[in-house]
Amino acid sequence: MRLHWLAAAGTIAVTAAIAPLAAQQKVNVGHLASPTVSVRLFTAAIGSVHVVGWEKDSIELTGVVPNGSRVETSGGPPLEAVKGMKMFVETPTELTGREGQLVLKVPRGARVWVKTGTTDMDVTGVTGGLDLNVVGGSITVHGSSRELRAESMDAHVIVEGSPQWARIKTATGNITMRGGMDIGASTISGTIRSSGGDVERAKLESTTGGIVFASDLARSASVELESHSGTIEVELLRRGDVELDVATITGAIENQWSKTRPVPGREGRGMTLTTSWGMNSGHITVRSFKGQVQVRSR
Amino acid sequence: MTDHLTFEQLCDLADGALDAGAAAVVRQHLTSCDECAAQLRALAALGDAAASLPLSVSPPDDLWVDIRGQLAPRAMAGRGRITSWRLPQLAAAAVVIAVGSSALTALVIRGAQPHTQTRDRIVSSTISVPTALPARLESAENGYTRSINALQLVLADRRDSLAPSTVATVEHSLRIADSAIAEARAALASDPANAALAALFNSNYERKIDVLRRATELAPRT
Repeated sequence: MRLHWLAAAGTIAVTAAIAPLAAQQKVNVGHLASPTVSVRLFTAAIGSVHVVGWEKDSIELTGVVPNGSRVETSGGPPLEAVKGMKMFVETPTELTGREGQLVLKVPRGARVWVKTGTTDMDVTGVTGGLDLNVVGGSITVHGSSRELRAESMDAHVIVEGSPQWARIKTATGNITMRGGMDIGASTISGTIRSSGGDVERAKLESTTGGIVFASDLARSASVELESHSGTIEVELLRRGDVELDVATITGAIENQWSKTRPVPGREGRGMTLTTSWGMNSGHITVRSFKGQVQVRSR
Repeated sequence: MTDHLTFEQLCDLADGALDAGAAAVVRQHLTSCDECAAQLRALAALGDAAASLPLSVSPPDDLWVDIRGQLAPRAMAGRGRITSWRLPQLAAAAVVIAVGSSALTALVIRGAQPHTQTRDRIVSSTISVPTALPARLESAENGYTRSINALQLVLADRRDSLAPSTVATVEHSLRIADSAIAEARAALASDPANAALAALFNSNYERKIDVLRRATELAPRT
């Protein structure tokens, strides 16, 4: 396989051949790379981008894009393993771009930055860093990367692993995750759901979108849930070791986890609830302006 | 009463640094002097606020990434495509710094609020007429407004390069954010000491700024 890459590098690592039967052109870009290479891929709207972390010491970008697309790369000398590589794909129009499909393979420990328009992005097996930015479509991340930053406007973001550090932001897109050591998720009107996995530190916030927190708490965990008007649902282990501090400005609080009753605000508006179980090693703070807060067992 | 306590006496009392005898004399004076008593309360509140400040203030998570994003194109100056992006990106960089500054200001202000969490006199309806805010929140709001105005200028320049659906999404989100800000603002005007409410107010602004920032960074035709 190494010979394959040397050959590819010898041809300046870039090949773009026009497919004979379809109005599309193939993309086939490759280069030797260090295990922690930093890869940047920039495309306009494209049908799908699939990022795969593999065991090889190389980068490969393959796929099809509409005829007339421009594919540019900048790496290092052909026969040397690069520490950084940039790739740029420009399609003639947004509409035709949506017919394109790209597969980017990188060393597992790579740091990958992808910025694109509307696309369905899927990432598998990258344990390094991910910085993903799309407008619409979706982002799905499998596996547990060290760092994950994902931003979208209306794309839904799904994280199926448990990253050590994650910051996810959308405008209207939904966010679904399985915990993580240090996670932050923010949206205007999308929903946020964290279920399964362990959480050590988290802040989940929305303006109108609902928030569901049903992950386990690591020892000394600190979780903040905040929404202006979205419903906040907290699902705790029946005898979870946690202290819960809930306050709303006008919203109602419903507690089905413990026997403690929420207390009305000083002048009868809003509610508060402080309840705990065990040694209080974990702490959850919930703040809501007018959304309802529901606390229950799972 | 003209023979007031000195500032040092009040500070020492607030800090618990006076011996019992001196403290008794000072406290006796306070029972009959509203002016000194008010000054003592202000000092005590300041002490509480200072104690609640974070030991360190980290910059926003996005700050370095955004600054780095501006440095990379500079290194590639002279290449046609990157050059075409430089002005908006540089403008965005300036805005990012402004946003970061505002966020830090808000963080400090938020930390300086008293810990009392009153939730009385809530106004839940959206009020668009500006109402007075406590000074600390008004200062934070001014900072947010500056950031928003700067970002909106950049976005206006780029609006035609974005897909209509994206513009619609951004505008929809901004309307939601504005509505939430107005509600929180109106509630704060009635309940300015509510720390939880102040935090929600700041968060609404920060999410709005974040949407604007990201909209200014989108690629053309998206």
